[in-house]
Amino acid sequence: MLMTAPPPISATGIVKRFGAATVLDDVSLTVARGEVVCVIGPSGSGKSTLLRCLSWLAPPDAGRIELAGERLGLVDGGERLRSAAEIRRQRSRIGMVFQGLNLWPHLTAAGNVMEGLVTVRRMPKAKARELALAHLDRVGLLAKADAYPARLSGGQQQRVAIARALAMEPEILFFDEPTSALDPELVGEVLDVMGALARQHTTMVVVTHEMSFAAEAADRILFMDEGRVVEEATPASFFGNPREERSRRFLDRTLSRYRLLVRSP
Amino acid sequence: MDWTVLLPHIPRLMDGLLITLWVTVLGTLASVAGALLLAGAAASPFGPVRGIVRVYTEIILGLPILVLLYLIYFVAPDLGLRLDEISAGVLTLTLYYSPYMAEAIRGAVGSIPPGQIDAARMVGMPGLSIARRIVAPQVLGLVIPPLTGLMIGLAKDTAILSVISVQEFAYRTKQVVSRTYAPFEVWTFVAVVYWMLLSAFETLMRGAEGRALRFRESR
Repeated sequence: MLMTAPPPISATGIVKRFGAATVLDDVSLTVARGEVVCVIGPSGSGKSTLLRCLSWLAPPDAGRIELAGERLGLVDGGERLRSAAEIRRQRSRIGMVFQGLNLWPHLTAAGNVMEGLVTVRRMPKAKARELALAHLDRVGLLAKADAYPARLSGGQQQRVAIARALAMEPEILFFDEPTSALDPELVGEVLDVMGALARQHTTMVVVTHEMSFAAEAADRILFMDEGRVVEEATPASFFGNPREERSRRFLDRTLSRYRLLVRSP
Repeated sequence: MDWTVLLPHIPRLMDGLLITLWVTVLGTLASVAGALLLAGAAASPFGPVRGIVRVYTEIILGLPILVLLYLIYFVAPDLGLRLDEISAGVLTLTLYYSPYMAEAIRGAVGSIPPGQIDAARMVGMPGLSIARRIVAPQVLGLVIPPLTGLMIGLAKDTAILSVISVQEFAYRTKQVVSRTYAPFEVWTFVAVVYWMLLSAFETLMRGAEGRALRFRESR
């Protein structure tokens, strides 16, 4: 019997409210294995909240999320919450890289990558370190394995954070504006690592303001505004010929400075 | 000035110093334990528990330690709580210092960026592991400076226990002064001993802080 593997993540009808404000209003998203989805949109459009819902850090108020075919957060059938241990197990299958620099400062780069392997996966330390070094090598930071985060640049810290997420061998990687807290000259090295992951067909959802990254790396663009998905398209069609008026306005605003640079002789 | 008058009384003074050290150690341990309890209760999901902590903290902040000591030693027996001097003294120090120490702990815990906790949750760490492996090691270094100040305050305040006849260092000093009629020599000597011990303690703690926060050094 041939069966198609379920998608790493599939969400339907996600609603999230904070008090009276509806931050996510009926958002659906399915990401196929090996697919790179970039979520773009103005600030406050619900992009980050979407990732927090999809990772159960901020459980949605309504909707259904499946992580590799398994109902996330709730027991399927009823609406009963899964046990804390179950949710932790599910969450550890999702890798997340945050906007802020969130490395644990009292652990070295290798220590940061090993922590989940040792405390959650119960891996022996030597094996965890070996794996951590391999993942640090992947983001080009093998030489910094024993450095504390205070000695790393912001870009290096985000690359360690990527290695930390990769080490857990997640079904899917979430990036929540991973470069927006960085000095401009450090953005490139992080995007390079993410681009390499995209080319290796790592399943990723990337919330970003880096339009050129989205245009190059994404298989699909999700444009969000005011808590809703306004447009979903390939990068070529989205950036070349956006269907929706709101998409067009957003692109005009964000890309105008690039256009100025490009058009001037 | 004749420092030799001190010599026959050194053993008596040292007995007092031992009591001071003993009360300080007991008071510190009990205060830190009480502070952990209070800091935990202040983070409780139950409103009434947080309310009790807040009211208690407010009361203590508004009381001189001497008044608290009198309440416990002279008033509490009328309410059925009869304690010997040392217990009453340690209890006073504990009740008085634990809310301040709890504030220090709360401040340190609160200074850990929430993103670090989210990151730990995302690798699937349970709350206890997060507290033990992510929060505690950082908090330890961060609470040392404010806690050191409070511990030194507590150590100095043990002298107040002399008013309920705890035979600690200051109490013995007054005794020795009344026997030698040499207040200058005796009090100077005692002041230097207090100062040396507390300075040594502060230096020690500064070293401990440096070691605990070594990871922060950027070069």
